[in-house]
Amino acid sequence: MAERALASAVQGDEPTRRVVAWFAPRRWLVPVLLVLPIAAVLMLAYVIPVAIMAGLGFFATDPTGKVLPTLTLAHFVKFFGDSWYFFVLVRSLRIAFFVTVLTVVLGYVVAYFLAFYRSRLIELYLVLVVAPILIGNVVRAYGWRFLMGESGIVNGLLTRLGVIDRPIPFLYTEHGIVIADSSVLLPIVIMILLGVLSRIDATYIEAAKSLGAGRWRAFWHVTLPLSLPGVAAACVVCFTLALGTFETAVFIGGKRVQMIAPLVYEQIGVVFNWPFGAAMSLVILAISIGGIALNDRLMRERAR
Amino acid sequence: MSATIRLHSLRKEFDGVVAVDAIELTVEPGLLYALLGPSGCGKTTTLRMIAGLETPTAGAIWIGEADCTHVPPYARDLGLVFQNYALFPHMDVATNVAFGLRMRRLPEDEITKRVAEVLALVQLAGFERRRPKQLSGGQQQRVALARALVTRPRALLLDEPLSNLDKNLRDEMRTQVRDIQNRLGITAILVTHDQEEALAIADRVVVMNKGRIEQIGRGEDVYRRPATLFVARFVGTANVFKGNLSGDGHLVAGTLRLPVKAADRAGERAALVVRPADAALRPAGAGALTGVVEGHVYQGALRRYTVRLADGSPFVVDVPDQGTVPAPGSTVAVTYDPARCHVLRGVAADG
Repeated sequence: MAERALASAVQGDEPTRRVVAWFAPRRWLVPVLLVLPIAAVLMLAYVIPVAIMAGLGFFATDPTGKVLPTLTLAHFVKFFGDSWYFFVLVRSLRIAFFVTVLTVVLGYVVAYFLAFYRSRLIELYLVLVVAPILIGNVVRAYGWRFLMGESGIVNGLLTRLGVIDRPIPFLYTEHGIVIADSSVLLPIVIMILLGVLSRIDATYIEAAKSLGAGRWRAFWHVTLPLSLPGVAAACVVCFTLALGTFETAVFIGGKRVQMIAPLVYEQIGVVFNWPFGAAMSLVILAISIGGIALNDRLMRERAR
Repeated sequence: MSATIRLHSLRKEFDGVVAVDAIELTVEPGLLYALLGPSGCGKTTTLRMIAGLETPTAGAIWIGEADCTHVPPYARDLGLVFQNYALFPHMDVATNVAFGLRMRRLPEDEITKRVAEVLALVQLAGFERRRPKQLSGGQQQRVALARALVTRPRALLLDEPLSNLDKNLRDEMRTQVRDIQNRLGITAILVTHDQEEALAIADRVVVMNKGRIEQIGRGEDVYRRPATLFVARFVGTANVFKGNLSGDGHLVAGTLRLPVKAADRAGERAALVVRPADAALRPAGAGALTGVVEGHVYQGALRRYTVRLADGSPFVVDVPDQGTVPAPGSTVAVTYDPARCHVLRGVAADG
């Protein structure tokens, strides 16, 4: 009855009324039709390619890299058995670890000030934090080369100031990648932490102070524990993105400091051994999903 | 343990807007003071300045024998109860209550003893391991009270502590808070917008409006002898008539001649305050004031009538719920005992 009332209440020309009348008894169709376009895009652009990649990792290849119709675990055996690939994986994990520590610590400090300090310039600070996201990674990586090169701005300044007498090598080093990667991920981490910190009720901190806690102890006993879910989420996102880092790895690491993502690209785009590349990306995917699942589990235990 | 709190010329501005101004107040030890006023009157800001959570723009705060104006909140040794209780959600009841003691680095066995004591005081023994979200509103309120009291502070500050509870529980908690405060003999300041609550539990009521104190006094003082028109209207319901004293025991307000107890100072501006309960309805002709019944609101024990007087001004009268009910539209006389009704002298014409 309600449907018919709705249909007859609709103003408009005859075709519009006929469409409304048709949909009235089939209301369940509306959400389905609304979701369909984005679901289709996700399916085509995301689910199907990932599924193909995942499947491909289990197909055998002949020496030229041609895919054979036989299932095998040989690519995974090769990956974990070959000390070179394993070394690159461990290095990537190490870099991702240090990037996460550096970015989350720095991001926490910035987010804390953005969340708790009253300032009229707060919106400007927010724009400054978010702005780097708008610049492409390739452009940024090139920028880092200018900044961190042997005769780059940082080394030039430090040499002129007499802090160092020989340039510090940044390019083609692990710490160079860590610094560059952190700068890429910092805005994302700040936004995640800011979301959590700004939702912490200030009266908790005031209560702690009224009970005798100074600024540091109020932070340690109240603000930090209450923000831990956000810290964990930021860590997972940061680690996952750092593990898959490509542009910084190519432009700062180059051939000398190989990371896992360029290695995958090399297998697929240069050597044309698609199944092996697929197997490698599956390993990265598994590690990332493992991290997310672990975080999920810890949070659920905490909430209990 | 319980300290005197003195506020001298206290003033607070937020971005140039004055929130609190010219506050002079001495809170005597062991008494409960209620800061009463409408929202935005500066009562919470005043409390937050005493707690050290806001820095005064000018003026001084003395707690005990020391100037505490610039002492940080954690060194003021005051117990604070927030409107939303602010119980730490990541700690259980015992850990919440023990927080202040841990900050003071007391030995663990002393902490255990004191937490047990204070939880018994607020009747929450056995709730030690519960999380705040597993407690009812009233229980959370009592944990907040226990947490504020366990450090044996010099004074207890309560910011609208009962406003989040439903009516029946609020009355019960009100009695409990008062009882505990009396038993400990602790100085207490309670912020509230509920005049009934202030009158019910406070030793002194401090009525505030627009950042300033309008009146300080016992509940009877502010209700029976309001110092300003604002107090008369905010604390309880009042029929207020402004006019000039005639000198022969009347107040002349426009065309009305109202009997008052004051028979001197002819010509002085004054206002008469008649509480609805002090007035009565009589058959027409039984009194000097007549009017037409507009209607009434049934309130259980009594009916609150609105009568439109001859000059058009309304008069509110409380009539016990018994006997006959004057019908709307009927003409009645309104009487009151002038001896019970306060006359505010020297009232400005626009007040």
